[in-house]
Amino acid sequence: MLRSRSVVATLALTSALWSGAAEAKNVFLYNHPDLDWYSIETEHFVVHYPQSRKADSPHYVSAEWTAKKSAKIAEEMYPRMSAEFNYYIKEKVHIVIVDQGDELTGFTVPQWDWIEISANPGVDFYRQRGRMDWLPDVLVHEYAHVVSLKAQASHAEGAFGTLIGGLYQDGISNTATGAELLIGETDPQFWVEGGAEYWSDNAGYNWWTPSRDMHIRTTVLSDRILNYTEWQTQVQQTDWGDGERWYQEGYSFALYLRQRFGADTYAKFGLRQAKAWQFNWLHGVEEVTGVKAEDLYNDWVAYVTDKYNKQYEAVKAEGEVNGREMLLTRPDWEYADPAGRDKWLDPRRTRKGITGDDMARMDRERAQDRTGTWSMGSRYSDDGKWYGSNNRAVVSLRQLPEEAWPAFSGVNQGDLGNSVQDAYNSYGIPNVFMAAWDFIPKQDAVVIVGSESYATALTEKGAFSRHTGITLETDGYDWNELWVVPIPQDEEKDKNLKFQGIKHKPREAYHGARPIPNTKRASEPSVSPDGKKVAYLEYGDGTLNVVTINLDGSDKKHLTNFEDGTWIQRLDWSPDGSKLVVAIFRNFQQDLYLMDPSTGDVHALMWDRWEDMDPYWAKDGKIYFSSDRSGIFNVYRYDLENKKIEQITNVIGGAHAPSLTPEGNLLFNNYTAFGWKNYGLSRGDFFLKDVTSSFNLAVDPAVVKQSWEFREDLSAFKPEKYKGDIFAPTGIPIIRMSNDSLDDVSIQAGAQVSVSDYTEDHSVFFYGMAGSDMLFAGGYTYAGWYPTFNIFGYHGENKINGGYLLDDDGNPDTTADQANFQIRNQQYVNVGSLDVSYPWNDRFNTSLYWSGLEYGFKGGSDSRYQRYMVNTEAGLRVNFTNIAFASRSSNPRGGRNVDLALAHGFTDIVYEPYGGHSVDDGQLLDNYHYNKIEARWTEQIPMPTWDWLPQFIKAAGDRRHTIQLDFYGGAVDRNVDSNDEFRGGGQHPYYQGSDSLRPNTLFAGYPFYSLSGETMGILSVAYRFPIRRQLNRKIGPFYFYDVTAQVMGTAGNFWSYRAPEDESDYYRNAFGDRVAYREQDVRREIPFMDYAYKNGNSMLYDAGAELRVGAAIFNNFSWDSFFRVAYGFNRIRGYGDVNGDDIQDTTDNAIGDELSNETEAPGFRFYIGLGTGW
Amino acid sequence: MLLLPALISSFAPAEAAGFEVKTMRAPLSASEVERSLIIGRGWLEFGLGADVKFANGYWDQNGKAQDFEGARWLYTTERIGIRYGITRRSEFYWQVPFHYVQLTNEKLGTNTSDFGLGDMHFGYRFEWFRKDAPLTSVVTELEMKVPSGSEAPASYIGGPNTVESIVLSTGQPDLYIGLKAKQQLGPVAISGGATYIHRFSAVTQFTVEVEEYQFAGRFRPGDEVRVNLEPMVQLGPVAISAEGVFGYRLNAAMGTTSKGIIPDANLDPILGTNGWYLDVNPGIVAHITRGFDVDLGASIPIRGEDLAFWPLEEISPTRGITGSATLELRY
Repeated sequence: MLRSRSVVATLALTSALWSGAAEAKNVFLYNHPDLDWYSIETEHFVVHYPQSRKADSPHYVSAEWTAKKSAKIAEEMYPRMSAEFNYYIKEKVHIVIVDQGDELTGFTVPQWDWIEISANPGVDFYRQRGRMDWLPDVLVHEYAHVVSLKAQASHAEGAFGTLIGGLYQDGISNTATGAELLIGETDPQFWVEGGAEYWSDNAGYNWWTPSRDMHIRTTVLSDRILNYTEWQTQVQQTDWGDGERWYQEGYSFALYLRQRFGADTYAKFGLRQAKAWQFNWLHGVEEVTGVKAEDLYNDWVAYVTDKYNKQYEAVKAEGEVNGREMLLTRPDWEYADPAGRDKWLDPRRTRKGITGDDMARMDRERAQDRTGTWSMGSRYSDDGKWYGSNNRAVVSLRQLPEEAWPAFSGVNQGDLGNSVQDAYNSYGIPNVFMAAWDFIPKQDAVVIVGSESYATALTEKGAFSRHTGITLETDGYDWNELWVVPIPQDEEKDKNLKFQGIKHKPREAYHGARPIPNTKRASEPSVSPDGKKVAYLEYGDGTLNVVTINLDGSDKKHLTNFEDGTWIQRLDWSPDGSKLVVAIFRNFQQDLYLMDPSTGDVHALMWDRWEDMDPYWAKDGKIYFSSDRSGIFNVYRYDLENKKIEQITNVIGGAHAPSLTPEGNLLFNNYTAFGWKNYGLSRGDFFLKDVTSSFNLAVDPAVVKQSWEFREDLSAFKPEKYKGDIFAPTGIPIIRMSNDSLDDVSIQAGAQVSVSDYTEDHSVFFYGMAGSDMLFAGGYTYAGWYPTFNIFGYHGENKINGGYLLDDDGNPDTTADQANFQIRNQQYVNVGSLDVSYPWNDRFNTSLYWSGLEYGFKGGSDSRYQRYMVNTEAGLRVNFTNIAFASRSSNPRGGRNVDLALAHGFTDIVYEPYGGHSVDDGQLLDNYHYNKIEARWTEQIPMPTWDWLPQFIKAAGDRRHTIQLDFYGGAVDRNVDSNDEFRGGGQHPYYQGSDSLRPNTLFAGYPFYSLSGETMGILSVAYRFPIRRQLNRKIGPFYFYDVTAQVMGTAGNFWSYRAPEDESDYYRNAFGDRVAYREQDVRREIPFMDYAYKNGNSMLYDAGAELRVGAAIFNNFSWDSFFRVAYGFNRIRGYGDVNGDDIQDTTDNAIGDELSNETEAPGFRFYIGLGTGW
Repeated sequence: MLLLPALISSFAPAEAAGFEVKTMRAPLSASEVERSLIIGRGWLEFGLGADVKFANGYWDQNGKAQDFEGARWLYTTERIGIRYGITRRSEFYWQVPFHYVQLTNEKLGTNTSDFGLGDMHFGYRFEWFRKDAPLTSVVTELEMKVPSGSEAPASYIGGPNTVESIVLSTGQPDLYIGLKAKQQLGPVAISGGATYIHRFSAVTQFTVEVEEYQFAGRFRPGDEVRVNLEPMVQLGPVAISAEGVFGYRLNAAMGTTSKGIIPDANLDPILGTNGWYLDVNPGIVAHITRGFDVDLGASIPIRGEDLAFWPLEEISPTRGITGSATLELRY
């Protein structure tokens, strides 16, 4: 009997393709429909910026000044930057200013002529790059990308490259081998980012600041410089500071080449690439300079090493005053004897079996990173009770006396046999990353920089959200604001330093925590000595202003009213509360000012070319601050009475953000190659070098006044309403190969094209592949209102070769009367869907969807396609995830993803040759409604490292071993056609996406989509462990960064309905299928109780192992690859060509149902993906 | 209810900023004789064209022209061509044909017509050598023809005059490998080249394998060698050319599928299906603007030998003059 069951595979495949997810805009999760957009057009640019429709909006946004200033900078820089490459761009470049959030952003897509930057530089930009205006810096940097990447491109701008790929499946995936390769530009990262810095310098908008020097100096002196291969590739470099190293090392290299070969050397590298695509971009370096790229790299390393060694020698000759890191125990790297040294330098330091100097070096680097990489604002409370610091967005508070710190006492408690690490109350209060905070004098409380969503983390009311991850954000704004957080008064801990440790439960909430009203977009709080007011900085349109307010939110007073990009870094109250000291950056002057908090009157303390900032007004009346006077940031103090400035530290890193303890010791943040660290310096060790003459304290009030009152005229730049300008359409030509059967290899060619407008409200994509198999998909997304709307359409056609086994006597045991007949069929599917989604927060998303589908096929004797079925479905999808979308690790750890879908559907079987019916599980189906629920839960669990665990478990945790559990379940509330059932069986990421490589691959040990049923329950367990992390090897164009292994197993099944077995309850149709007289005689199988008649097993099991290799190709493109083998333990039966030999046995099986007579034996299945991702 | 107003209000007229001319786009000569065999980097060309052929006869196996008995064959092709210059030296190209076909047999009183997608071609051209003023261009072409059209005749009984639908696909893919060159000499250019066409076998819906009584047979048209020479003269904005095309085809083969990735072991050659042909294709290219050309042409069969695979025009063309017109729109 002839049946066309092979169509199922295509239909199922299609279903997997169109399940769309909500799309966020590039920077923001929310659409911000409360904003209007305006544009300023100049000769070469169009600048777009947002403005709130309602002037009284609590989240009022206007980036008009930033936009006008950007337009001015852009036109000024255009000829200078164009001259760097002699490449004068004719097409207008669009600059989109965003100001909906408080974070820094800046990126470009040159092919789209699109630069997007935030008006707000965030809190730590200046510390990293030095004192330069944010707008010229970021804008010129991004435009340098636009010019350089366009000028050096070997490809046309309309294409990002060419994607070549294919998947060959042996049978129905006994083996499935996929490969994917994107041939695009091959430029190395150091040239791209370092070059953008360098050309900005050449164009006069950038310079090598002490901040940049600080970064590269510490990197070189600590031997943490990116090696020759590391600095080429931008994919998956995650060590602390590596991102900045690309920028600064590349910039430094360019400056070195400028001295040696001329100012245009870096540009020439790119122009060489522009002549013709190079397999290895660096060959052009040798062509331009006559020196091999690696030799040049080594020359530059030798140059900077010599330079910074000499600088360090000079510091040491003068007397290095560095203090000590604020650690309670002696770190391994401060070894005191040869044994300690040997332990620290041992190449087998932390791992067995995997050794090598590189690995040991990386382990040592990570050990030093672990004491804190982003620490800022360390200080003691006035009563000496609490020490705190903002470490990676958490204010860590410890109730610890000063003498406990080796940095002040000079005594390591650990050396005395004491353990003080956990001896006292300690709390972690969330705080904005790298932002300042302050104690409230005479209270056990702090003022932190939180945000509007901090109620979740800090209050009892946030318990539900804290535990579930579900919050309901409705306006899309989560601006910074100040919070008052009382420090908990828990049970008193033993103050004996010999106390051996108390474990603290994580705090559920901070009783009494509350936001300070009227402090949106606040930062850098400083509480007045009387504990009643807080002075802080308020952000708006690229500018900061000084504000004071009472702690209850009353009596808000603006002390400055800048509207011109003025930036301020730190402020503090005088001990008597009568003055403020403020560090203001304005017109390229960074100086300290005294300010009257009642009038706002200011008086400049100095007027020089140094970067003087981070003021702290100590109880002794002296102002401590940080300055780059010597080319290295150090802490200084200014005695207001005798106008004397003394240098307090003399470091080789960079000393910032000073404060004094009640005992007069110094706390500061020191920049190292391993991050921003909390340091302490005993008052007896202060450097105390008189450097008064280095500062210009004789300030001319007229000069200050002139600068203070200067207002740039930007009136020439006239805004107009945004007109919906669109990107240049771009795409990727695609060539791919696939096979529908062993002898039917299809080559397809096509492209993916997308286009959007610059505010990303509207975007359209089209994807088309044509060959003997065809696939066309298109979609439109509207992201201009609160929820995002997606409309999607899809048309697919397949031609499929196969064979039918005909059996004259219907007895499969007699083969003499059997014959194989080859056949070719065509099938099609059309899909349309509408999806309305809303992100309630960055973890929780819901969407309502509707979809329609029709599907049919055509044989050689059909003049037209015959429609088989139509289906429509509507439902709700819910997703919770705390796994970062951007996390591309091959060993993701510690995350959870939950998907839930509820749907109602309607199907009509319309295939005329079957009389408009189908038979499934003994039931005649015509048209029917159904309800469906589907749930998927993934839990990634790092192996624990708790002290009480056996050593081998702790060792596994230390080595980043991970357990992953996946549950996948679902139920349809009635018997449905096989096309509406759940499907399972091994998937390959070439078609199914990287998600299919999660351990729960719906039974990788069984053929692709071979399992089906109306009820599904599957549990997968995987154990994953790194074989090699930070491999960092480049072979040809391939860069390999890690290897991860995994073993996994799956148990579960798909259960369906059963036809009646009593002959009086059914009849047989023309195809020999049993059909029940009464629907109620078709019985639902009970999951985990019944065997599943469709595959013939009560439970299915498989086990497997895989190896994943993290890699990149051509410096820019991910090329993650894997090898997986899985063994299915059960023999299965099912539909159509079950054993995968391309021949469907059409003999009626002995059971007499619509399933095939074929079975698939237990066996291995192999999956290989070369560059297909995971 | 909220969706519709939101959508409507947001559809402000979009600016055409995205379609500005890019700086990187290669120059394009207004003169056809000066143009390379590849389109320049960054150019996207859409060719919208149509071919019309009225055929009243065919070539017999001996290369003799024969007339249909009371039958008329109208074969039209409506083409969408796309060329994209992806790098300075290479381009991708696609040809998407649709066909309207009508077969009228006055003797039998039948009138069958069909319209549908034909077999697409796509390929990649790489320019090995290029010199301007005067132009010299040498390219290699790698091209695939894929069986995207309908290959179901719907009925096997009664022969071509009684099929319910007309086959618009050969049902199997081809691989084209070509080497072409163009040399300009002042207002004159000569281009020419050679192409080898390898035709893969495939199970096709229109093939009935009678010896093994299969539902469908495996079919492989014969490989082909094609050479052409095309002189061209530029007269102001108009270029006039005349191309001569000579081709030789090997025997086709048919049978059942054997095992393996190349499953041709069971195919038997169909003797006498080899043969040669000679066509002459005069043409005119009128350059209207930088973004717009008009091509007019004809294809005149001079000699040929029938392959007996009517109505598969792609491998067994009927005898008749084809007129063609194409609008080339470039961006």
